Amino acid sequence: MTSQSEWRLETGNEWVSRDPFGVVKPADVSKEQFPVAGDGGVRLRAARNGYASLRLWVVGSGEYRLSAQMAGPVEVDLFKAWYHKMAPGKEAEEPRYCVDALLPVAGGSLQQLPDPDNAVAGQTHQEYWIDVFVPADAPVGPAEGRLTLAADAERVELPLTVEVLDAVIPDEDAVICDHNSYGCRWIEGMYPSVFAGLDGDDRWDAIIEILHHYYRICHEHRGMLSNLGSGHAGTIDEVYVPTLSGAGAGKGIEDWTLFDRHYAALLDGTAFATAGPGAPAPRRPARPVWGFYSPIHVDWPGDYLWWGREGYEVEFTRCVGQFDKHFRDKGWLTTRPYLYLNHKKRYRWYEWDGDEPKYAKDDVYFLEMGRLLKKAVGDTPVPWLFRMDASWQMASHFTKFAGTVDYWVCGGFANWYPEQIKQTIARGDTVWTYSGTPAIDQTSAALLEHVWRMWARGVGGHCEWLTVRPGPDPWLNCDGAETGMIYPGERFGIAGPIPSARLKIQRNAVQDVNLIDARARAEGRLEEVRSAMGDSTPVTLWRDPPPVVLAEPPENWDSINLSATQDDNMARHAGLDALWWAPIRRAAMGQEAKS
Amino acid sequence: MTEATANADALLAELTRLGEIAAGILDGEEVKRIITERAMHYIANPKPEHRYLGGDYFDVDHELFGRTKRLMIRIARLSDAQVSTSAWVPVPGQAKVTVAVHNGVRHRYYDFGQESAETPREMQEAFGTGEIVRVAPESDRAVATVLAPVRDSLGEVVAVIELTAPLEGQAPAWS
Repeated sequence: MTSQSEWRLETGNEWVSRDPFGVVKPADVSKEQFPVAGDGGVRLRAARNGYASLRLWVVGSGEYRLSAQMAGPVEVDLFKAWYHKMAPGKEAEEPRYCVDALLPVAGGSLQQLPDPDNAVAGQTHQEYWIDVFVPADAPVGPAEGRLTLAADAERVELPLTVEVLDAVIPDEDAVICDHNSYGCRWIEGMYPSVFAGLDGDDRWDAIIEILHHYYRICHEHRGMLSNLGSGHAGTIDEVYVPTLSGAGAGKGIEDWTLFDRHYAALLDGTAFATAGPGAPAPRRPARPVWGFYSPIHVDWPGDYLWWGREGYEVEFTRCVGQFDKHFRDKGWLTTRPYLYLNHKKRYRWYEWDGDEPKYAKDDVYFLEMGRLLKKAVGDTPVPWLFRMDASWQMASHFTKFAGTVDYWVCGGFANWYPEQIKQTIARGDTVWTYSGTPAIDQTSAALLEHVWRMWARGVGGHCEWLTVRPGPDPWLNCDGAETGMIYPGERFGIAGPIPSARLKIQRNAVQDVNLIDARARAEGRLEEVRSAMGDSTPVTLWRDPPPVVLAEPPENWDSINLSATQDDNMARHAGLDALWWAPIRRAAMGQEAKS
Repeated sequence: MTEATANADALLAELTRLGEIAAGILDGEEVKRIITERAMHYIANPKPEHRYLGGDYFDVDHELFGRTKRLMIRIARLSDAQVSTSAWVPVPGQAKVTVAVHNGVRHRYYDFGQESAETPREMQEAFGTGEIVRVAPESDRAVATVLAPVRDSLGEVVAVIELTAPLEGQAPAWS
């Protein structure tokens, strides 16, 4: 095919996306500026051991090849953005397209505009996400390269200069961006070509392999995958548990084969030494996962039939003790296995809430589970945690469950309890928060609200409750993908997940926070920097509770008298400017005023 | 008779045996009081603009729930089939039912997160006649079901126990 128009390259910062016709996403329009290019081409500043990114638009029509070259150890990854066709709204309107999923492409590979697979009528712009990776040992100073567009006889070159800073981004993240997920049955539906004709062990092997790819993509993006095996009904797929045998005093763990196949590489870190399909070679250290959902729940290994009786205690303590011993024998002493109870009484399988408990009368069950866990594992070197996803009762639970629960993942009500949270952290507990994820038609940088808030509050992590299921048809009838910033690669012939702009924006923000945190700690002025930056950052950290919270016990709160729900997506109300993160980026790059 | 029909008939017979036991030993006085009055009020009076309201207020009597759940577990384990059980109770003043307690994941009538449902025809029959009702597998749902009436101290049918089992296959932990 012959090029029918003049080709050109346009560039922009990572936080502003455009539609397939070059129009900036309405939510990304800003009066502020954060240019990445000038007369001399693209110019980025980057700390070592991390990424700098930009968006690039190929403008033209016909076949083309895009490539990137860099001198020295600096590497460049190209990703072609998918234009998600948004599900129609209530009123008839023209189709809307938003960018998010990023398809890795080889430099110099043949592409077409309009993109035939994306099938956007009249497409004039193709967005690319450019990741520039600067290794920890890269020389400080400018690294030169170029981006090249070749189309027929035309050739467009854009110089690319990366100013490599002396700063090295720490391997350890100051905050943990947790990507939550439930079970593994969704994988088969997302990857039908992988599972065609598979059954038995082959099927479980394929599930484990793809799960590992999800762990990898999170790890490489300075995040973490959490994958909960147990369902609300007290059932759990066999890939998450060692096999039990017997009952009562004779109950014990019989077979670790499938469990070890699933978890061993995650617990010793070797899973992260290899790349997922389509992904560049690993650039992050291969280390054990920070933590994982242990298979323990109310119906495993103890039989809930015998809850409150001697038999439940015997089954629980014996089997959990064996579980702990297996970890000690294997030397899995880094990863934190957590006891987490996900069931909710509203679903009618159990009489108490394991997740987001609302009723104080349910507290006795938590205390009992905590007692059983301690009895089962004793003074073990395995760093067990008892996790509670705290909500309605969190203010009283911080006190009542001190010494029982030591890992708190707090919902939006955490906004009301700054002092209690600080005290809970001060006694050594792990405190995180949780929420949903902004949709792809919202401000591209909206999800960074959570990154900022966790660091500014001093909490260790933030769990986005579901990030691997971007909807029934994220490609051509997208519902906003609030539940998936990691996409299946199946459509593109990739037997694993592919990243998104949201995932990469989040990764880059974690890098920024790491730099600011490390520098502030080294200077002995962490709280000073937190406070000073917090004053100039448009994210509210704490709020006063509504009157009903002060007047009534949590049992009497509801989504009417609170004017909110525990599931509220905080980002929806943020109203953040598209470039709100830019001052934080400048600070991370050492460009902040030294006040 | 095809093999599938024979399997379904055998399963229905097995579920009927369990249903008779359930009808005989479950205490309607307890089952009907599992869901607290306040919770039932919000089930009966949902506010569509506040979709979490019913869940916010859902609560049960721990002891009554626990006893009924354990009895239903024991009944299900009398069979080698993968039997899921649900105790359905009427929503006061409405032609609807809601689950008070259940076990297992293969249910014919419960949709995840559902707060109430129009009373299915065959469940109406169980409530109305006080007899065990057998519901054969349908083409799109390879499960067999038996509905067993549960009576209170006045002899009124105040709950229906659903016993459902798949003709084949394992039930997923997450679907």
